[in-house]
Order: sequence, then C-alpha cells, then structure tokens
Amino acid sequence: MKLTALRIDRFGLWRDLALNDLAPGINVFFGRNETGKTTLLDFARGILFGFSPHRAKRYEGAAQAGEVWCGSVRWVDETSAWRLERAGHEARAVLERGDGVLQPAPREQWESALGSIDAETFERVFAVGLREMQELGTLGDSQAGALLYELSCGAAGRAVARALADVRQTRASLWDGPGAASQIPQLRAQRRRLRAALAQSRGEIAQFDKRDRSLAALDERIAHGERDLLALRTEARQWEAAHGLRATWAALQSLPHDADDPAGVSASALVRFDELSRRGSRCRKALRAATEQWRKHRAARTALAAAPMRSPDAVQRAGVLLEQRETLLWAERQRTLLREEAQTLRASAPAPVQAAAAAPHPVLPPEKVRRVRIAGRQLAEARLADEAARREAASARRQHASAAEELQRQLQGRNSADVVRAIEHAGQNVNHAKRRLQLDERLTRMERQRGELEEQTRELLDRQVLGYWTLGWLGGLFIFGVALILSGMFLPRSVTGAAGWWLAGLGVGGVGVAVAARHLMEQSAENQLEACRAQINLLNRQTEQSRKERDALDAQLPSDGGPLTRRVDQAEEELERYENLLPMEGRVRAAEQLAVAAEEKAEQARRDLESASAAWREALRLAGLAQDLAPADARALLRTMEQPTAAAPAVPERLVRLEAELALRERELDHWHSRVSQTLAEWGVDAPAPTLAARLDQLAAARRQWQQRRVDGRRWKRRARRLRGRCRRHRARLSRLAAQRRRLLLAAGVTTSAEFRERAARWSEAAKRAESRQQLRRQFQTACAGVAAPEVIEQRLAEHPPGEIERRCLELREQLERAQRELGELRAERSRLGDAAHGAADHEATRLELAVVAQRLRQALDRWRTAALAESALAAQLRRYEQEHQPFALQQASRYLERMTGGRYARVWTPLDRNELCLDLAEGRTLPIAALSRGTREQLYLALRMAIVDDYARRGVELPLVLDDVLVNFDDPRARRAAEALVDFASAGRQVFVLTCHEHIARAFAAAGAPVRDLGSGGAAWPEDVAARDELPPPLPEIAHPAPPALEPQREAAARPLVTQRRIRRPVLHRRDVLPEAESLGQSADAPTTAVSFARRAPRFWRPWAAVNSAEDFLGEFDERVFS
Amino acid sequence: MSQPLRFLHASDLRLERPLGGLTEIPPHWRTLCSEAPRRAAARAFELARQERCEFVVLSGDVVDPELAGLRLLRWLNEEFDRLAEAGVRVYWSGGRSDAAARWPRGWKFPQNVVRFRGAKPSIEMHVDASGRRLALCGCGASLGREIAPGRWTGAPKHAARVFVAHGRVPLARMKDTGHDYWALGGRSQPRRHAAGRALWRYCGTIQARSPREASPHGVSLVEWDGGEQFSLRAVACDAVRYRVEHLTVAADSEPAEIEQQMRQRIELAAQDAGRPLIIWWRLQGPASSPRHGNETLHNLLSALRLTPGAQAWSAAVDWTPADALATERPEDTAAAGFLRELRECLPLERDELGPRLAALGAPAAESIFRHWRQASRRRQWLNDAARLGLELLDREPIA
Repeated sequence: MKLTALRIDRFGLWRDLALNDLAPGINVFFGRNETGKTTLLDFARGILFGFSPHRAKRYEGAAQAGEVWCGSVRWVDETSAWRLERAGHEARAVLERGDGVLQPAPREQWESALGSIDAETFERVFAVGLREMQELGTLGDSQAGALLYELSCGAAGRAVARALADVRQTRASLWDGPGAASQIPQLRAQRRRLRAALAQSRGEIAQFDKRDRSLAALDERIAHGERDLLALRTEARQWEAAHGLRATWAALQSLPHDADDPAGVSASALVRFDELSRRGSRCRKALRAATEQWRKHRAARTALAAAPMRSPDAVQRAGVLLEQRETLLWAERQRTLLREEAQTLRASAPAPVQAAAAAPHPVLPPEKVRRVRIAGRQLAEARLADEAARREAASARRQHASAAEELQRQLQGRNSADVVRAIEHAGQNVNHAKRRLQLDERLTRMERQRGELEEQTRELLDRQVLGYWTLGWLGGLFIFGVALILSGMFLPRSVTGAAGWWLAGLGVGGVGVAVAARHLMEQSAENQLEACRAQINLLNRQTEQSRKERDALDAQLPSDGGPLTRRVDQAEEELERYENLLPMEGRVRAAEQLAVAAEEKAEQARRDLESASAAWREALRLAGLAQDLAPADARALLRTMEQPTAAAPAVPERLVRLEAELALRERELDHWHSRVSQTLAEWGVDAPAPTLAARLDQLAAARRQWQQRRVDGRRWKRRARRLRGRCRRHRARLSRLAAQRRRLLLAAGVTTSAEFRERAARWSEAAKRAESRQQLRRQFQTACAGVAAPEVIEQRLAEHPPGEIERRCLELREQLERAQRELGELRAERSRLGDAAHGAADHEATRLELAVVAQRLRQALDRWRTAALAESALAAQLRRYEQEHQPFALQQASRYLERMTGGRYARVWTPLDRNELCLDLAEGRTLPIAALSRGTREQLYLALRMAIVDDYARRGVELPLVLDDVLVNFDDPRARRAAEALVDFASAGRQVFVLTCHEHIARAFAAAGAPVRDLGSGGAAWPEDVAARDELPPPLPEIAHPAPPALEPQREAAARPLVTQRRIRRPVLHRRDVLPEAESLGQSADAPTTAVSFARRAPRFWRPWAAVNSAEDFLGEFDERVFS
Repeated sequence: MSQPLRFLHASDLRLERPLGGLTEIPPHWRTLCSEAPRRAAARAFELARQERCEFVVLSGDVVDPELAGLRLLRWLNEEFDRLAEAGVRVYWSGGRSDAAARWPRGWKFPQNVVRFRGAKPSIEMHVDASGRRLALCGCGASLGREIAPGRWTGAPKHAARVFVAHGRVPLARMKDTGHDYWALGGRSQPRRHAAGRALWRYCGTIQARSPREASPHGVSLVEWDGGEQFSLRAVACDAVRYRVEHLTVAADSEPAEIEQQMRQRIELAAQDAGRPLIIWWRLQGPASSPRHGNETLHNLLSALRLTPGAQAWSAAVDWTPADALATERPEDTAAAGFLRELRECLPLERDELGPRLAALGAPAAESIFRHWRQASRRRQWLNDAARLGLELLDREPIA
C-alpha cells in the first residue's frame, strides 16, 4: 500500500493540513522545532490504527472544549484506492474502485488492507523514532548487542527473546546450577541445617533412659549433699548463735531467781484495790451528802406538817375577801366622805334646824308617814345594794377572766388545755418511760439468765456423756462383775474355790450396780437438762412477752427524745411543770366561784330592789299618794302634808339623805369588818390590825404563806423520795465495793490494806525482775528460733569457753562454703542433664521453620519448573523466528549497512550457539557489537529495521516506513549515505516518510533525489535552489582498520552463509575469541560504569572529546579507535 | 435411668507434624503456629476432663517418637497424668508412626494409658462405675492394609464393642457388624458411616496442616447408652484453621476493589471461625490480564498482611484463571506460537517430552519428569508457564 494523501482536520496543533500527492517512494518532511513533525507522525499512526488513549491524552492540551480529532488518509494498493476517515473513535473507510465507484468498506476489509496488524506491531516495525535511537545509545554493550540481535529476529522475535531472557533470569535466580548463590540451593542448605538440628532429638530420645538414671543418681547425690549442707548450716548457725548470745546469756545468769509467791499481789490487783478504795470513798461521801439532804428535807417536812391545815371553805372565804378588797376599801372611803359631808352640813345648819332635824314632824297620820318613809328608805337601800352587787359581780367577772387568761397563757404551747388532764397525761408518760426502762433491764437480765441457762445446758449435755474417770470406774466394775460371773460359770472351783458362786453373785451385783449407776447418772443429767430447757422455754416466752410489751410501749412513747433515762427525766420535768400550774388553776376556779357568787348576789339585790319598789308603791297607795312618785317628791309632799310644829325649823333634805346613806354604809362596813375579823381568826391571826386594809393585807399574807408551804411540801416530798432512792443505791454500791475489797484482801491473804499494799510493793519488784528475766529469755529464744532449742545453745555456752566457740564458728564456715560450692556444681550438672533429659531444644519452632523452608523450596521448585517449561516453549519460538526470519533479515540488513557505511561493513551475521550479532569489515575482520561506535550501532539498527520491513513486505504486509529524525546522530557523510540508502530502499517499492528538523539532513535527502516538503509552509515542496544547494562536506576517507585476528578453521567454517549454517549444529564461539582487545583493556560487557569512570580518570585534554555525547559514545568511539 | 457412658475418640494427632503450606509466618504468629498441634491436643484432653469422659480412645498416629523431641513426649505423658487425675483412662491403638516398636525401650506411660500391643487385635474390657462393660479391641500398629472386620475375631459378641483401628476402611462396603463403634484413624478429614447397628467413624486429625484440610477439625464425643445405641458429636479443637477463599475478579477490577472485597471476606471468615485463620486466596477470572499480574498479587498479599490486629493471616494469593492454555491469540503472533508450543506438551509422555527439555539441562528435565505423570500437576505447570509467558510477551514495547 502507498499513502497518496493525508488530511488533518483537527489534531494537536494542526488544522486543515492537506498533504496531497504523496510520493510512492520516499517523502521527506522538513520542519524546524515546534512545527509539528511528531504530531504529524502521531496523526499518521492514529489515522491508520486509531488514536490510543494515551496518545490522545498527550494532545488534550491543544484541543478546545468538545473537539475531537479527525482527519483522513488515502492509499492505493494493487487493485483499489482507499480513503479512511476518523473522527475521534469513529472510523469510516471508503473503497474507490477502479471504475470510480465509491463503496463503504467494512472494518475487516480495510483492516485487512492494512495488513491485519495492530498499532503495536506498526510501532515496533514500521515506525522508527529518535527516542529509540537515544535509548539504543543509553544501552550497554551487551544490552545493545542483545537488542540488535533480537531485532534481527523481527519484532515478534524480539519480544520472544526478551521474554526468554526474563524467564532465564527468573530461573537462574531460582537455581543456576550447583554452587550458585540462588534461591533453591540456599533453601536446601537451610533445610539441611534444620534437619540436622532435629536429628539431635532422636539422640535425646535414645539416651533418655541413661540420662534418667544419671539424673536419679545425681538427684540422690544432691539430696545427700543438701542434707549434709543443712546439717552443717544448722551446726554453724547454732555455734554462731551461741557466739552471738553470750552476752545475753551472761545477763540472764546474773539475774536472781525469785521464789514463787502464790499469794503475791499483782500490779493490776493493786490498781484494782486502789480503784475500789477510791470508789468506796466517793460513794461514801455521796451517801453522807444524800443522807444529810434527806434529813434536812425530813425536818422541813416535819415543820410543814406542824403548820395548821386550812379547810377549803376558809381558803375560799379568804380568797373571796381578798378579791373584794378594792370594793371594801372603796366602801370605806365612801363612808368617810359621807361622814365628812354630813358633818359639814350639820355644822353649817342653825341650831333649831339641827334640833328639828333630829325630830321630824309628820303631816299625814304618823303611821302612814312612817310607813311611807320606811318604804322609801328600804327602796333607797335596795337601790344602793343593787348597785353595789352589780359592781361586785362585774369585778368578779373581770378577775375570773384575768385569771383564766393567765392560765391559758401558761398552758399555751402544750398539748392539753386542761391542767388536770395534762398532769394525768404527763404522769402516764412518766409511768410508761419508767416501765420501758424496767423492761429493758428485765430483758437484759433475762438474756443474761438465758445465756447462763444455755451454758448450763451445754454442761449438762456434756455431763450426759460420762467422764473418763466415771466411765472407767463403771466399766471396770462392769468388767470385773462380768469376769466374776464368767469365772463362776466356767471356772467354779479352779480359782475361787467354793466361793465361786458367791463371787459370781457379787459380779452380778457389780454389773447391776454399774448399769444402774450409769442409768441413774444419765437420767439425772437428762432430767436436769429437761428442767433447764423448760426454764429456757419459759424465759423465752417471758422474753417474748416483754419484747411485745416493749414494742407496745415504744409505739406509745414518742419516737425521738434520746435514751430512756433522759426521756424519764424529761417526763418528770414536764409533770413538775404541770404541777406548778395547779395553784393558778385553783385561783381560776376560786375567781370563777366568786364571779358566780357575785352574780347570785346581784340577782338577789335586784330582786330586793323590786320588792322594795313594790313596797314603796304599796305605801304610797295606802297613804293616798300617787304611786309613781319618786321618794324625793314623796318626801317633800309628806312634809307639806304633816302637821308641822310651830317652833321646829325645817331640816335640810340633803342632810337627811346623807344621814340615811351614811347609816347604810356603816351597817355594810360593820358587816364586812365582822367577816374579815372572823376570817382572820380562822387563819390564826391573833392580833388583827385596826384598819380594814391592814386586816386584808394580813389575810393575804397568811394565805400566801399557806400556799408557799403547800408547794414546798410537795417539792420536798419528791426530793425526799429521790434522796431515799439515792441513799439506797449508794448503800448497795458501797456494800458491793466493800465485798470486792474484802475479796481482794482475802485473795492476798491479808486483812488490812496496809498489808495488802506492802505485799503489792514486794510483788511489783519481783515482777520487774521476772520481766527482765523474761525479756532476756525472749531475746535468747528469739535469737535461737529456727536455729536450735534454747537448751542446746545454753548447754554449749555453759560447756565451751568463748574462744573455743569462735574457733568452731570459723571452722564450720569454711566447711559450709566448701559444701555449698560442691552442691552448686552438682546442681549445675543436674540442670544441664535435666534440660537434656527433658528435651531442652525447642523442636516445635524448628519443625515449623523446616516446614516453612520446605514449602518455600517446594514453591521455588514449582516456579523453577514452570519457568523451565516456559523457557522451553519460548526458546522453541525464538528458534522458529531465528530460522524463519533472521537469515533474511540479516541478509537484507547486511546489504543496507554496506550501503550506508559505504562498503566498510560487508556483512552482519550471528555465530552458532550464541545469540549475538557480529559485523564483518570489508577487509575481512569481524567486530562484535560491543566494538561498534554509537553511530555504527544506529546504522545497524536502522538497517535491521529496514530489513524487517522487507521481511514484512515479503509476507505481504506493506506499510510505509516512518522515520522521525533517526539520522540526527549521523555525521554528514553518514547522513548522506544513509539518505542514499533510504532512497534506494524506497526505490525498491517501499514508501518511506522521513521527518527531520535538520536542514543538512533534508539537503542530504534532497541531494539523493528525494522530494522534500517544508512543514513550516504547510507541506509545500522545497524550492529547487535550496534543495540543490550542496553544502555538505565531502565524505571523509575511510579509516583503515587493523588486521583482525585470524579465526580458527571451525569459525571460518561457521561463517558461511547463514541459511545453511542455522541448520547444522553450530560450534561454540566464546566471547573472548572476539573481544581480545576490549578485555585486554579491562572492559567488560557492562561497560557504561567502566566508561564513565574511565572518562573521569581521563586526562584533561581527553575530556572535551570524552564528553561529546555520553559515556556510551565515549566507549564506542574509544573502541573504534582502538580497533582501528 | 443411668447416665450414658461417654468417651472421646481422637486420632491422627501427629503432634510432631507442624503446620504446612506456609512460606512466611509473621513473628507474632510463630508461637501459635508452632504450638498449634499441641494446643489442639490439649484442648481435646481438656474436653475429655470437662465432659467427664470415661476414657479416651486414640486411633493411631498420635505422635512419631522418632521425630518428636523428648520434650513433646514428656508433655504427652503429663497430659495423660492429668487425665489420670480426672479418672480418665486412655486406650491407644498404634498407627503407622506411633507403633509400639518405634518407641524407645524403657519408655513408661502413666498407669491410665492402655496401649494395644501386637500385630493382632487384642481386647480390653472397660467397666464403668455402674458396672457396665464395654469391650475395646485394638492393635499395636497400623495394619498397613485395608481393614477387614472379619479379621477382628475374639471380641465378645454379646457385649457392646469399640474397635480401635488405624488404616483404610472402604466405608461404602461396610456392613452391619453388631452393636459396634469403629473408632478409626488414618484419614485427615472426618468421615462417618452407619451400617445397621454399627457406626464407623474417622474423626480426622485434630489440627489441619495444609490448605487441602481447610475445614474444622477436632474429636468425636461418643455416648453409649448402655444398650445398643452409640451416638457421637463432633467437637472442633483445632487451634488454627485453614481456609481457602475463592474470589471471582472481573477483568476491569481495580486492585483496590479486590483488596476491599478480600478484607470483607477476612472479617466475615474470622467471625465465623472464632479462632485464628490462615487463608489461601484463589482469584478467578479472565485467563490473562496485565492489570492482575504477579506484581499486583504480590502487592495485594502485602497489603492484606499489613492489616493490624487481624485474626487471619493471608498465606498466599493465587491466580486461577479459567485455562491459560486455552487462551486464544491472533495467529502468527509470538503469544500464539508460545501457547501452541505449550499445548503440544500437554499430551506428551515423559519420553516424548525429553527432547524438548534437553536444552534446559538435566536437572530441569529430571525435576519435571519426576512428576510429569501426575496430570493435575502437569496441567498446573503448563498453565503457570502459559501465564508467565503471556505476561512477559504482553509487556509494553520499548518504543
């Protein structure tokens, strides 16, 4: 196929580029940098085989949003013309028949027209770029040789060769023959080592019996040694203890031994005795004080008892009188005022009047007048009495209200409004609290009693089992009796003679006594036990009842208030407070009674007033007067109606009224005076005061005194009760203390306290000595503890002098050290032997490691086998490629290389059994790839690629060869010859596209007759004057190579035509045969490093030359110089 | 009704045999892996004590005294001592590796261990506390051939019998032999067969040692009701469990996706097993994919092993394509020729393969020849070779 036109609608930087009329031979495109040569090359690849993602991505930056690459290509083959258009991933081909008909072609058809190769193959075969040349330049000699060799087999052969090399490398890394440091030998060595370690376990097991016996013997020796060591250590410790305790022992010996004093008084007994004495003294003092107080109270109560008793009526009367005190004093003051006024009126009236006043003259008949006047007087008196009674009743009500209010104020804040009920309640609380206290004491007592009973029960239970002595006695009696019976039965006469049966009877009696005694003792114990249990049950019931009662009392008593004794005291104080309110309660009741009496009196006065009014009206009616006359009016009327005496002057009415009122007051006061006097006499006041007020004061004082005595009497009664109890308790305590004190004295065997104290002092001194002795003894025993018995140490101290003890200690220490050392050696030996006997080696880890190594080895062997099989197949493939493709390729390459080198290199060939290329110079010498310069290698590379294209063409695949600046490393003569070779290559029917940015290369092609287009001007042809300008230097004369070393006859035979040589077994051609000079210079196949180091070591004048291109360039040039 | 008589049947303890199939073990798994058989055995003996078994039946291949260290043998005796303290007897029938002749002379077992001796079956009568009698019949070593029930003569036919044997038994052909329990050993995997009144049981090894034994392993807890009924219950005792995980991978799966799926599988598997796991990964998918080459598998394995605190250790990640040999490649390409070359090797016999492998040298040829008769290995090697070659041939070109 030949491309005829190429159109780029959009691709990279190119827009609407049309390259028409492409030559069927060579087409050279010149363009300077950045003009799009590589882009054009990529487009050519893409338009033919599709734009690969990575290649399209390379040009993403140049595309606008939404753009897709599109363009077309035209080509012709022997029969038809094709046009292939692509827009992104869409491809469409049109077949142009010879008759001008356009026909869409399916993909298979146009792909077949493209030789049915893919883009990768096109890349490998038909596209040669500058990058490949550069990579070739960076390869070392061997790598470059291998690459060129692989290339000689074709593109596929090259891939196979590379895969084969990798597989071989993999296989060599696994196993590369015996002795090599590869993976499998290492694993095998590791496995051998682990197996050897495990093999030791078999030896362990085989010798376990012997080792066990040795171990047992060693154990016995160690036990024996330990016993000896223990004995030695004990002995040494005893002697060292004796050495260390010598001072203590001496001090102990120096202390005298006191005789035992069984009646000694201990310090605690003395303290107890003193405490009892002190407490007795305190108790005695308290008893005396309490007794004295009780006596005082008894005297006071006696005095109070001597005072006369007052009847309740007397008390009530006195109270009433004292309540009427203000009223009586007011009446007395009124009487005084009336007396003074009447006296004044009498003194101011004339004498006749005064006389007349003394003797009135009635107008009416005297009986009527007198009757009216009496009635009038009675009416006036009734009015006065009524008024006085109402005032008295009001006063009594006020006093009662005041007293009641005071009492309520006192009772305020307490639970009850009534003092009597409060006292009853408080008394009940006191009783409950005391009962509760008694219950507690009773429960405690019962608990104690029950404990004693239980203890007694246990003792009785123990007693049910007869004691050893009792049992022995009874058993002996029983056995003796049985023995007598048996002897009587079986040996009637042999031992006891004629008394055998009597003794047997005695034996029966003894047995009976023993059995009966045992039965009776057990019965007695059982009865006692039953009684004890009955008591316990009774006690339990009582305890239960007491607890119930206690719970009931707890429910009644307030829950708070502290301990019971405190609650009892609180209840008693409450009761006392309520009792103190009793006099006030009496006063309230007395005031109430007075108020009631005053009310009754007022009522009586009102009734008297009404009766007096009725009598007044009756008298007026009888006198013939109007009944509604007031007494004053009636009195005046009577005066007019009376028969007046001639000489008698009129007495002033005021005086008369005053006199009447005064008389009334006098009578009242006399009445009250008499009552006060009578009451004072009842209260024992022998000398009443002259005035009413003073008498009332005397009465009040007497009543207060009586009330105080009454209160004092109650208080003293309570105190006396308490004091009696206190005295009783003190006496009981005193008797207990005295008894304890007596017991102490009795226990000490003395009778007086002085003797007791003296004995205590003696005992204290002895105790101190004993304490010192005990302390020393304890020190001694402590030091001896764990070493030996104190007696042993004492014996050694007593028997051996200090020097001998010390010497013995030193000897024992040395023996001990020696024994310890020997025992340590035995133990070490035992430990070693024990480890061996128990299998010290950790075989589990070793076995696991061995398994891992074995698995790795197995896996490596599998990989090695896999690689071997793959290598076998790949080698077969490579051989096929070598046989089918390499001869032709090398033949063609030899032709192209000779053309490009101007005949200097005549042939490219490959030795037998070696995968490398050799070049024959025209004069007959052979050079390996390693001896070629970079330029020569690139020439060879290009020649091989051209040969491969020929090979593909031979197989029917004809595609244009695209070269991108591949001649850039050629000098001008080489470039010219390469251009000529390529033109010749194209003239043989191959289409070639050459892209270059170098003008001299373009001119070289132009000089060789190739059409050159300038991409800078859109693909236009170069002007002829420019193309015809020949500025290239003339070719250099060829350098004469030194004579090659003579090849051996077999090598000469091997260097025959390749087609035939490949079919026979090739002789081995060693590398040293073809590289004598390079190896003599110390160079090897991996030359880059050597070259670089050589370049660094080179003299200065060498450096510019050495740094021409790279280390490889230097090496290539250097080799070529050497070989030339 | 009296309690059933209970005993424990274990076999193929192979205490000396370590875990296999591992090419790498992390440091924190070393102790576990090295002690795994011993731990599994300790669990089994502990189970016998907890379940108040009357006795323990060992059906051979308990330990190879010639390979095991002295420490391991003494440990076994200590375990027997503990069983003795719990009143558990041990009836031990020899296998291939623990036959009486292999034991060192003078080696003493505790009193509760009853070893069957001799090549012919011998009988031991076990009487429990309630007076029930059970006849145990066993041999001192593996019979080395197929076990024929007819050869076990001498066992009382009127009593219930427990036959303790090590060897191959064609279970499918076994018939009713009476009220018998056949405690068999010699197989790694548990198997069971009931024929009439007889119950045949291979309880398998107590600890798996290769991916081929990837399943729960343990012992059988057998109960005899005193009459005609034997019932058994399998109890797993293995300390480490092997597991093979198959994962199907699409051609376009990213390695990260595959790793995520594998991690999820590991989590589920660890929860399911309840003990440390050793996992073999078998990836299945297209025959050849550059995306899933050896390097990818290696990276996957490294990533899985780096999971902190995991109760599972990924031992290997293998690629098992459908059939690499059957991969179709364009004709006249290097890959097609390569595959054709390998396919041609597949039916070849050893002698025919010789010339093809001659260039590789004698060790390679001999190494391959040795196992070439095994068709599975042969196909596996050729498949691996195909995968290796295709992977190398499909690499990116230089240019």
